[in-house]
Amino acid sequence: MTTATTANGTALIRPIRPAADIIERAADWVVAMDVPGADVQQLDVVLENNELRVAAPLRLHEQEGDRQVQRERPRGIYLRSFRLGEEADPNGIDAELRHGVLVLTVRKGVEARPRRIPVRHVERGDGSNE
Amino acid sequence: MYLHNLLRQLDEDWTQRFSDSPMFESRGAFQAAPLKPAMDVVARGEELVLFVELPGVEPDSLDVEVVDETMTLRARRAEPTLNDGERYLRRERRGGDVMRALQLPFRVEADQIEAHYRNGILEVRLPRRVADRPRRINVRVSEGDAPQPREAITETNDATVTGEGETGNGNGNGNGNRNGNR
Repeated sequence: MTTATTANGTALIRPIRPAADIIERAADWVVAMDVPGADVQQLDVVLENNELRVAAPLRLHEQEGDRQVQRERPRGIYLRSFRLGEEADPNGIDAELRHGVLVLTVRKGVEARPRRIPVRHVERGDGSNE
Repeated sequence: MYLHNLLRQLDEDWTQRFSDSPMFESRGAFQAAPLKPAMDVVARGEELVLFVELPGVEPDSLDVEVVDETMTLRARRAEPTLNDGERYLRRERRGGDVMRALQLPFRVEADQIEAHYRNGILEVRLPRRVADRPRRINVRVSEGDAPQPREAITETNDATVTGEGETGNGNGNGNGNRNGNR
């Protein structure tokens, strides 16, 4: 991972790779990503050249005059991208932020969805069924 | 710093985050330890404020309990239920019970604890017990020869109004003493 730095070595933006699940369902894929502390107003989901990119700065809550006692949460910006296959429908992408989890739903194109093939019932009087 | 060291000490064993647990793959075989969420703590005035990362937690499952000087936080993070034909292509997140305990550096005002859950962050404000807060005690000086009021001097010296004004307040106390002696 790269970190942008200023001349005196201070980190400007550190990329944070959020943990993600990808679930394949019959008609779509669901990508769930942990982005605690990301604001919906600053969440960026961009689709470009079949690449779905997520960027969200992490909002911290410290105020002036606070004294740091313990620091475990990362500082930086959530960044993660996914390459979509041909089967994905670029017009069928939905994004939702729920309690710090970004849920992206990517619809499958008609060709990629499972289809039930009707079975023709062929019974002639050839005696094979008896 | 005392507060800092205390919290650090208690938390040295924190290793598990939501995503990087070594138990992750073999979770089916045995019960995994509760998830330990990452947390920032700041001291703000007479309060300790916690910011706990809890993405995807069921809000109803959130429970903050303070007994004496120990705070315990519990929550539950549900895992998605897969229907027939659905499958994970990638799985980095973990669900299950979440638990974190913290030894506080002071007793808290229990009925003034505030907790808000927003954007996957739980903010908990723990105010120090009022009775335990440091108080500045006014020192009364009793002297036989209480200073004489100098209001007259203050009013005539316009060049140093501010400084003399403060002296004037001091004289106010002197007046009080004088009244007591009456």
